[in-house]
Amino acid sequence: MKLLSRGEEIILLAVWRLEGNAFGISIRDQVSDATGYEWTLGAIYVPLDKLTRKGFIAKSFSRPTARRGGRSKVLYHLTPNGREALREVREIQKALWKGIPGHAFEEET
Amino acid sequence: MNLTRRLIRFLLRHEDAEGRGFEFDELFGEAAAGQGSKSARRSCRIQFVLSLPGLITNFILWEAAMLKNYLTIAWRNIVKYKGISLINVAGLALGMACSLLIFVWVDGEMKADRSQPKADRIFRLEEGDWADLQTSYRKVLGTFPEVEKFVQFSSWEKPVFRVGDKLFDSRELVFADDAVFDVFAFTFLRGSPDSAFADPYSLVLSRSEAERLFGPEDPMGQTVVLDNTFPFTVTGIVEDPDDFHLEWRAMGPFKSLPALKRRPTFLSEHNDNFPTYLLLRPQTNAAALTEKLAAAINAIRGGDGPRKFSLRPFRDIYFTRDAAVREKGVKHGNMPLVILFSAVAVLILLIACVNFINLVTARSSSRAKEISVRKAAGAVRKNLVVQFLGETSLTVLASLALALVLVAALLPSFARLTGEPLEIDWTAGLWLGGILAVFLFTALASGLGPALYLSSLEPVALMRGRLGRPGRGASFRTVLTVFQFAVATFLTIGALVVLGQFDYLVSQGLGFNQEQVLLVPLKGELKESPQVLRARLKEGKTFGETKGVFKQRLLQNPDIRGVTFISQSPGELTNTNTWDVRGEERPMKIMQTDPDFLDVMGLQLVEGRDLSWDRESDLGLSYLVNEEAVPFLGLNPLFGETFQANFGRSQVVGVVKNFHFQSLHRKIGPMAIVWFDSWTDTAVIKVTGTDIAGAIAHIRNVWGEVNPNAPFSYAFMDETVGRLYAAEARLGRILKVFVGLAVFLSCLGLFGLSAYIAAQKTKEIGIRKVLGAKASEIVVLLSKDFSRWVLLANLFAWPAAYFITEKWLQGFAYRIRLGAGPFLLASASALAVALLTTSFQAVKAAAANPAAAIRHE
Repeated sequence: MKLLSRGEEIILLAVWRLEGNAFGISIRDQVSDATGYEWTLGAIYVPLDKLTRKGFIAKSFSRPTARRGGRSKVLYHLTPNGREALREVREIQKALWKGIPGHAFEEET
Repeated sequence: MNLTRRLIRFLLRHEDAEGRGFEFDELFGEAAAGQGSKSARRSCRIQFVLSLPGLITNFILWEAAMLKNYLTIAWRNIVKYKGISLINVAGLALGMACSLLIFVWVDGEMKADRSQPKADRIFRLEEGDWADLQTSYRKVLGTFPEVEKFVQFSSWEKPVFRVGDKLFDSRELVFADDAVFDVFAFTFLRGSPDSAFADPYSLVLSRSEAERLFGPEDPMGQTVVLDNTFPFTVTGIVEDPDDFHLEWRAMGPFKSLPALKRRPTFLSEHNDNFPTYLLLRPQTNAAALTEKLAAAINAIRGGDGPRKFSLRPFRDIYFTRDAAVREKGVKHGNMPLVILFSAVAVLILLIACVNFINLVTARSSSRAKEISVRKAAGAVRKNLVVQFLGETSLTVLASLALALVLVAALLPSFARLTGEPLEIDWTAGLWLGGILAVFLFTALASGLGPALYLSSLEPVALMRGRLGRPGRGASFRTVLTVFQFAVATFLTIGALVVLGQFDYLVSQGLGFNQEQVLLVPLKGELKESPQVLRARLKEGKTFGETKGVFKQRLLQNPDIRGVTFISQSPGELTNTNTWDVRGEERPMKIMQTDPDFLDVMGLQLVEGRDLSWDRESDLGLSYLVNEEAVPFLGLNPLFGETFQANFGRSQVVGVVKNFHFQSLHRKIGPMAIVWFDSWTDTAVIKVTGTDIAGAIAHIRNVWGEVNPNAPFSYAFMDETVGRLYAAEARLGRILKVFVGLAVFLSCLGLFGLSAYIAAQKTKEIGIRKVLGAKASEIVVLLSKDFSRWVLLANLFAWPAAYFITEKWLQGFAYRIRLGAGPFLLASASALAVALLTTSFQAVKAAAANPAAAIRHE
């Protein structure tokens, strides 16, 4: 299985965290906060679509919101496959970091 | 902000495009709330620009997916209906190739005279309806400050060229003033326009003429001897001036003419023979100048009262027909013909498009499911229109490729057909534009109708298969098929009339002997101009001696029955003399010849006597006139009353039966025949028996002995006369091809359509057969619709064809009457061809096994 890219991983994690309220704007805010710089919506949509195609996230429609003139929002959810993919990335990271002491960077801070 | 928003909406291609649009709005809204509108706007733009890569990636992915789907469907449709696709592509390719070829021809016509950079300042001075003026006007023309330069041309000289020891006829030799290269632009390959005419005995050759005279040798600085006397030096080579209305292949300086013609006074003479062009200074009022010029010229003209003068803009010359009885060597275009051919090009392309439209809409039911699924899945009409237009463009593109191959392959044959050298500059912008125009026209004309029609269908009805019935859209197709056959019938009638008139022109003859008659142009010593003659008389030779010897020696051959000399080709008599009958002017066409004329030409004397060798007084002073001239002259008595003509007080001695001394375009007018063989320039030789080659060999031998310093050439009279109708012959040839194409394309469409309808009616036919219908009844069932359409087409074709052909025939003084023949024949053949086409399918359907048909679903 192909590994997730870093961008996909970040988005996927944001969708998981926001479970139930993950849509374009909230994902963008979440990601921007976590990484510390502004993501554009366009940059969010591309990995979102890719993840959807891969079956890592699924879409649902929210109840109609007044803010959008009675239309529904598209909400994203993590699928079991997505969760599995995240786990895998994490396993690999763990394996890669193994043996490197946790305090390796701490001297710098 | 609005623009940004619109751009985003445009770029968003996604099933959630709408929602995402809102998300952008929301984001911008937040920004506005937090930062105030101005900086919000800025951050929005930044946000938008930064989003672009993502948006565009998405856009492309999305479009590509859709495109892939469209292409798949288009390809499947092409492959599934191979026959119909083939008809479509072949038909469109033929139509497009035909239009492109016509485009090449029309472009060539329109290009004539367009390459002259000073064209809008150049005018041709004309006198009444004559384009050729006197050399004496030169004195006046130079005195006007408005006239920057003027150029007179002369195309009358036909000297013999000698290069080394080889003799050549001069071809399209003109003489022109030195200013010719300042006024007109020609592409110099060698030499330069500034110095070309520095010496009076210099000669500028066109490329093809240089090749003819010198072959592979370098012509520059070489000598061409004119009339074995005057050595001219080649000082320049120009690209063939094919797009210049005055035809020339070799050009010498006007100032050499007095010497060449042995007439020192030549430059101030009163012969109206010389086309005159003026280059005006910028911002000259041409109308005002015309007045002044006319006054000044009339002042020096003297003689017979003031004449009218006019300035014709250079660009108007090529397409004028009205001007100048007296134009020599001027090429003309034919605007009505250009318009006609352009119209034909469009019509044939339309026929091909109609085929396409008919076949696509007829098949609409087979697309019905696809359309309904697309509509149900959310395709709006615009998507479908784009899809079908795209699909059409694909077919048209394939046809275009085929058409271009056809054009490249057919160009030489087409050039032969039109009788003009046609070339394509494949990289020229105009040509590429033409291709693009033809492509767009074809794609839109054949794609838009079906696209709008197919996209308008209701999905629910489609799903239920209501479209399975063949009736739907049939009336639309009927109109188009009627249109097709109307055009085909129209063109057929046109071609029949043109060919009929052409046959008439040729078979009618001109009223004189044309069979086994040779025309031998006289050159060198045999062509005795009055000046040469005078010199010869001083040498003690008698009048017309060389011609006399030539004639006697020719007649020694038993196969040569008669020889006479004439001053102009008998079918193109334009020389006019004005007689003074009791103080009244009588312009008469004049044929200068000798007393053997009537005999050799086979003309009939109606009254009086023929000219006689034995009467010295007949020379120049006794005339034969045609019947037309008798009332025109009003002589009383006819034989006896004298009048003033060219050579003194003259009289009429005989009346000749009318004959056509001009082509049948013109009515026979009054003309006269006179014995004056010193101005004759062509020998007419009547040959009997079967050994024509032997007779020609004899003539060549005699020529070699009598006139060794000039090249021998000859032509057959019937061919020369036939060339009078070259334009009609060409039109007939071209129309034949177009008609063939139009009929073929119409039938191609009909063939496809009938195949489709027969397939639609498979079940009906099966049931009818089971119930006892005969095969013939089935054929009638399938054919009668088409027959109705074809017959209906006549209603439109007949009046249009009548109007156009009648107009064309009015251009002839002698013409066929426009009877029902061509109309009935055209319609009958259209019907026959249509029936043949449809019955092929009908017979196939009728012969099929009904059991299989009924089971057919």
